[in-house]
Amino acid sequence: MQAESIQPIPLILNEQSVETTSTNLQVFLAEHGWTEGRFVVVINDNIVAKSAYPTYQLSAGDRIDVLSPISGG
Amino acid sequence: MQASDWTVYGQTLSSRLFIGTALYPSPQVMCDAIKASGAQVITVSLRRQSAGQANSGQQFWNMIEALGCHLLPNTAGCYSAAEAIKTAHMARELFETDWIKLEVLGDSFNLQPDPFALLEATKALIADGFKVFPYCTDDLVLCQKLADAGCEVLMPWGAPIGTGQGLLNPYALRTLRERLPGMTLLVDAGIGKPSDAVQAMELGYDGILLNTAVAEALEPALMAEAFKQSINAGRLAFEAGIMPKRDSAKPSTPTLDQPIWQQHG
Repeated sequence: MQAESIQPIPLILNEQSVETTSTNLQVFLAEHGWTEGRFVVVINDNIVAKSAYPTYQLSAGDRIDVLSPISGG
Repeated sequence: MQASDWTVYGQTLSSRLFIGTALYPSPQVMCDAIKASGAQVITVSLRRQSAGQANSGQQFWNMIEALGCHLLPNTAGCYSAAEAIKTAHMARELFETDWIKLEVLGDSFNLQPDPFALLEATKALIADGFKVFPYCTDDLVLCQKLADAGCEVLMPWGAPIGTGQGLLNPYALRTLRERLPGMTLLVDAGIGKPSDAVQAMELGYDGILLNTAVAEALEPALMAEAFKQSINAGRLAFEAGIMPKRDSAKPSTPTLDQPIWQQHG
């Protein structure tokens, strides 16, 4: 029996097209360098609470914005 | 001597200077300038960062956290109420504060606030539990409507952002002070030099928000100290009571029993 291959899904991450096989948000974020620290995740214009990262499942076409603190006047 | 403490949305502060964190030649210069300013409130913002830059936001966060100041996130760059409201919610989640410096711009040339969108966004954010610091023009009726909406602080401009032009319309700013006597008022934007800040404080403004004038000085920490002293001096002068201007001279040395009788026309 042949193992079922996982098909990558297309996403938009911070305005860039990406593909991933990691549909778990926390895993996806870690793959892109966001593990701990100050950032906020917005998916399809909805803020995702940090406590939901481990269980949040990404879907094809999701638009993900990761925002970080910067200087401001 | 230090001017009296004041309260902003329930938070007691001794410094009357809010200072920005942008445009400094280096992060270390920023930290040195903020410390020299004595400011207890600093403005910050938020942006998308590419995956490769995931750590830079954290580095900035670590620096500002070490300063121990209250954070005032802004909605800089928003041109509609919807954009500003969305950004404010993201800022609240990111910085864990319900304070928001609400900027809704109406013109990209002079970065003038859009009064209509600003009022709309203010109402929505106050309903969502935010403590709004609206960056506004010096229009009296707009400011009255922002106060009616529930703002406890208003931040009219002195001049367009980053121009350093000082107080372009002292009459309008004085009128705001007179017509909104119980409102906490800060001049935000346009301050170029310490004497501009003194002028605003002598008018009875409660504080100053500035960034460029310090960040773009040749010696930012030194300029921050200069603003610290000028804002304190201006406030002390206001609290002391400034003499009224007169049209005619009045001798300060007593003339009674003067040994030489002088007759002048």
